[in-house]
Amino acid sequence: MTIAGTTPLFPNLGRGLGLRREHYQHVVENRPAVDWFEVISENFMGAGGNPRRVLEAVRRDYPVVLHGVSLSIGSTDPLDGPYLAELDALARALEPAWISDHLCWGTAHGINAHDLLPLPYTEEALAHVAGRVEMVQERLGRRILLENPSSYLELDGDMAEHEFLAELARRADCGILLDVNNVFVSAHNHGWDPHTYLAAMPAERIGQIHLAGHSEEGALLIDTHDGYVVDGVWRLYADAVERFGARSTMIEWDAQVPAFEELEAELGRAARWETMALGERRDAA
Amino acid sequence: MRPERAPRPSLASVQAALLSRITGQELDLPVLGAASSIRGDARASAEERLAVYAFMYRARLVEALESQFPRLARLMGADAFSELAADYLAVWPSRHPSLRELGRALPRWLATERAEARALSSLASLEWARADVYDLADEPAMTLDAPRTFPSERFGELPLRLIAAHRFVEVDRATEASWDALTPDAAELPDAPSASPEPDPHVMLLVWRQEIAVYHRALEPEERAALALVSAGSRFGTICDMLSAAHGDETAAARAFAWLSTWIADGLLAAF
Repeated sequence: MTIAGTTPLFPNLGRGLGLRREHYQHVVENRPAVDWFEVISENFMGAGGNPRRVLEAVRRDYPVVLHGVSLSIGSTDPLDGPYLAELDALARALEPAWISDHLCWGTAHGINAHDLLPLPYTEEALAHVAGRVEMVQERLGRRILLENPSSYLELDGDMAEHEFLAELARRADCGILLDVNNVFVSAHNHGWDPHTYLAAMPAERIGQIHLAGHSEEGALLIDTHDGYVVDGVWRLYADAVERFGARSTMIEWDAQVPAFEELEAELGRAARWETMALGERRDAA
Repeated sequence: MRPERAPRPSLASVQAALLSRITGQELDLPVLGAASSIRGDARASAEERLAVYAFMYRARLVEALESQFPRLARLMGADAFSELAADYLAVWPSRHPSLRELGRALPRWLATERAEARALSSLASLEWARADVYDLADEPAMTLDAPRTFPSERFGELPLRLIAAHRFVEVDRATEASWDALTPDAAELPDAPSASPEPDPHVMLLVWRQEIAVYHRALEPEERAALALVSAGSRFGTICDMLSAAHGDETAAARAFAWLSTWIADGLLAAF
């Protein structure tokens, strides 16, 4: 195993959680011991009302990162100017530690599937996406992170997803939000080796790690964010920490959302896996 | 000698074909078999893999509509609402990056496509109006200090402006009457609307947000006319003049001040 020694481009915020409607009141009233929160950008683009008040209250007490689902960075539709303007305004108001979205596309001919659809990993797509990432970073005045998606189909291409993502990050000078559960799910669905995937990632560009639960649907795994992180994903997370060092890590749980204490317990598990992996990393060094 | 491989379709054509298959939308494009670019294997065929996305597309968007029209969904039942949502999405697919906008055209679509069930579009109109003001921009509301400190000799010039987070919506009386009975935790549903040829009497509702709570209430025609004047930029004196013509000065003044007091208490007027 190689251990990267380069300096990360993004600070380690510690362990965080996604801010979900079910927990707004608990978080605002109790200020739980969580290092930071991730919020879905589109849920807070409305200028007022309860969501905005909650967000402002949370921001007063915690670092926050913005995570989008509608940038559609891989689409051949034009970049959505009004969307970027709203995202920029939200970022100026919130001063997030960073902004992320997904390596995917969701629109064609102006119609939005509201999904994270996979790209064909071709040279054409790589050049296209790299150019758009540069435009977005120019518009927002900051380096963004792109997350590897879960996928249930692969399109004909020239390279593997991990090769595409690593080269994109280098070419467009962007960061990577490494979703370990997504690596696990896609590797299962397509017969990839998840450790090969991790080995290809440029350590310094990984700014954040997602962990989540998934479901089985026939022979495929589906990224449902509706349960506990499974052992295989924990082990893959440990591999990631051993390779890259500690990174801002969070649990995503979006359906059948449990009590906040359950999420805190899951973060505690993440802490134990991280500690163990960092021990391995020191031993290897 | 290897057979010549067909040229790979462009990124744009792959995306259009894939999105067309997932959403069921017919895009004005040269036909391209999206499945031809998809790798199937022993776990699942290309068609089965596409079906995962198509299923999730419909489930996600129906769920989003259900969250915007929970009472309509409850009244219709899950299966009927799901079918209605699918019909709506076939005509009005999402063209906005936020799902917040997904249901905007549903009340109007219902009114034209399901004209026999006017009660459904009426209920949808009220649900959408409430959803629409939920996260509009906050703005400072007028307080009682404003009229108290305004020069009494020029009181007719008191400027009035409605906050942005308000809507006027005309609904059937039955919609207003059944609103509380359709809350998600209500034990019993009201009777399903019948396709009566007799139109239900209408009522004009005011929908607005105060702080973080959304409210609605019925408006009598005279108050509706007064609020229309406020929307058009009229000042307090114009409201008094409207009432004076109908009721005489004394009644007009009492009623105008009562409205002003209510509007301020409800947070309906913006600070100036």
